Amino acid sequence: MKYTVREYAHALVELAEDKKQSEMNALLHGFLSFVYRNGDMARLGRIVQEVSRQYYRSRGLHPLEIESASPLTDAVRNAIRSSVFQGILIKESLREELHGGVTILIDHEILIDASFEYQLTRMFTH
Amino acid sequence: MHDSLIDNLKKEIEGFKRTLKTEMIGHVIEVGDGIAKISGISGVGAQEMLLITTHTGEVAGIAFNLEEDLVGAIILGDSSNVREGDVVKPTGRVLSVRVGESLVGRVVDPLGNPQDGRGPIFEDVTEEIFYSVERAAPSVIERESVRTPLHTGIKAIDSMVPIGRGQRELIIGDRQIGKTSLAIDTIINQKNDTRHVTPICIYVAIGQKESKIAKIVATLKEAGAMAYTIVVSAPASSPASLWFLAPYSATAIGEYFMEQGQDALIVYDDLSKHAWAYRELSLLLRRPPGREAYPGDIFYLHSRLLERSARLSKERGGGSLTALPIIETQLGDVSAYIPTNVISITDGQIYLEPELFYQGIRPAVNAGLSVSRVGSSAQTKAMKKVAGRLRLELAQFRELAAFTQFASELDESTRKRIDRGKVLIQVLKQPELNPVPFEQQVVLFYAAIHGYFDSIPSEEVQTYSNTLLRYMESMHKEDILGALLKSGELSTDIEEKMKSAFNDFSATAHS
Repeated sequence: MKYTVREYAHALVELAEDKKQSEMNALLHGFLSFVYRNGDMARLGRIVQEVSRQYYRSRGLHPLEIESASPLTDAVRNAIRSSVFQGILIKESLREELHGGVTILIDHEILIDASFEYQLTRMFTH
Repeated sequence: MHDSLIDNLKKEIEGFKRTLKTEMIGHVIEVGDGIAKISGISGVGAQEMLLITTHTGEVAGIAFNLEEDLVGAIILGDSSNVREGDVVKPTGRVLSVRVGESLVGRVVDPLGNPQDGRGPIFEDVTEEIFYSVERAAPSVIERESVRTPLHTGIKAIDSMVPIGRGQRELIIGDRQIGKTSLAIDTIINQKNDTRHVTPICIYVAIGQKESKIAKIVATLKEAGAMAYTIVVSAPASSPASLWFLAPYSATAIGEYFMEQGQDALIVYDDLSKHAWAYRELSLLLRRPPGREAYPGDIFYLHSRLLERSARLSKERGGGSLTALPIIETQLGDVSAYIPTNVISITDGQIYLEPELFYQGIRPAVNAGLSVSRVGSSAQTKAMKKVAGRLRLELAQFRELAAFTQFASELDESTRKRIDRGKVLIQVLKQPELNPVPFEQQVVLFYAAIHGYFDSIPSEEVQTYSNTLLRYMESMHKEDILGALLKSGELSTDIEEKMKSAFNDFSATAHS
């Protein structure tokens, strides 16, 4: 039977709900074997993404991904984290083209662009 | 100039207010065959335009499938640069195309980009008018009945299957039968019809060979028709998304002129390929296939397109958009799925028959199966007078056609009907790219139905007609042709002059 990415992710998130750390290895091993037997290893990347999405959603958390032109200081990092209710920082990356400021991606969907690149673009295009 | 530039920059900087940008974005999770599956952008609307940021630049797309977790989008352009993980931003608006007078004489793609190598279309950046490619058709109250003729210059059509401005008349037939030729001749003839304002013509090439499109553009240029024509091109090499979009974009362009109170003519060449493109996109998006693997809304695809062609009421400006959709049949099968769909939508059809074509009757219009539901409301009085009898005599000939091989054994009146029918068939023949103005058609038909061609052998009828027309042009340009053109009526006075002219010509021709 063909399962959707959503169904795989939902199953794993539910099963992992009350598992101890010591039981997780066995669970993950079993899960991966199941995916392999179904011939869905090619979709594993999407399954992992969906697991992450469902995991954060079930706990009311909001994953944050921050891009900046230069490495973030702790102060900036904490300010960003605290400005998003239940925000959890999962990824930081550098992009020199921003020239300054940051971009913040919340829940893989909402993008807040506070970069210098955006301000410059705004200034010179109407 | 240097100082003013610095002053302007200073002003910009002083007046600048820092703001943040907040937007919904998505990511491409799967791409291939011109389709992208996107996660995120949960608030996107159906048919909303999307911008995909690729490593080479931005590519436009349209949200087609709104599924529980994904958005299925068609990519408008080259999808080879779109990769998994590319950021997708909804624009908050449906796809629209810039319209205006500057489009006339140009060749554009369905997104409005120039394809003729003549540089940008619009120079003026201050006045930008955009029309959505998907627009609601005019309501019942906003319409008026079709009354003004649209002369195609093709004798068989203007007499027996007359088209009016605001009508939808289907041209249907097999491959290589003369469908495009009919449409091109119609476009070329619009400059000959001086009784009415020349309509803006739009030729939509859907899935055609680029060489054919180039040839059509060259033909129109040579005939002087590009001065009032726009070509919207989605050639065979372009993606299916552009084939799908082309008729809608072109109709939006036509609607601009219609809403300005002008007349416009749009030719869709052809809607069979348009249906194929939509089927391809639907299957790739995993929409459930129906009959012949077409999606369930294939009828709506064409009905919502063709309903946008109309004649508007005086309150709405009185403009019109006349549609000539073309459908290609397979082995003459007009009862197939797509042909029957479009036949039921349009206000008539011109059926081109292969049998007639191979018999040398070109244009191969089957007058028996062709119909115009607008009919004589869209004919001038002069043409109405001659066309009724023409149709009757041809119908009588068709009934007796089976007996032509027994001509020597038939009675006098039957033989005369058969001979008259043969003459009329010859009179209706017409070479390509040779539209005949309506006043010349009236003269020819009058002569034919009143027996002035009866003594001419059928193989010489065409030559005789051409000579007669040249004679009328040189000797009676003002008193007969000019009078017909001006009044549109066949008065008793003009009739008498015509009879006298025919007698004079006949005497000259036989001497």
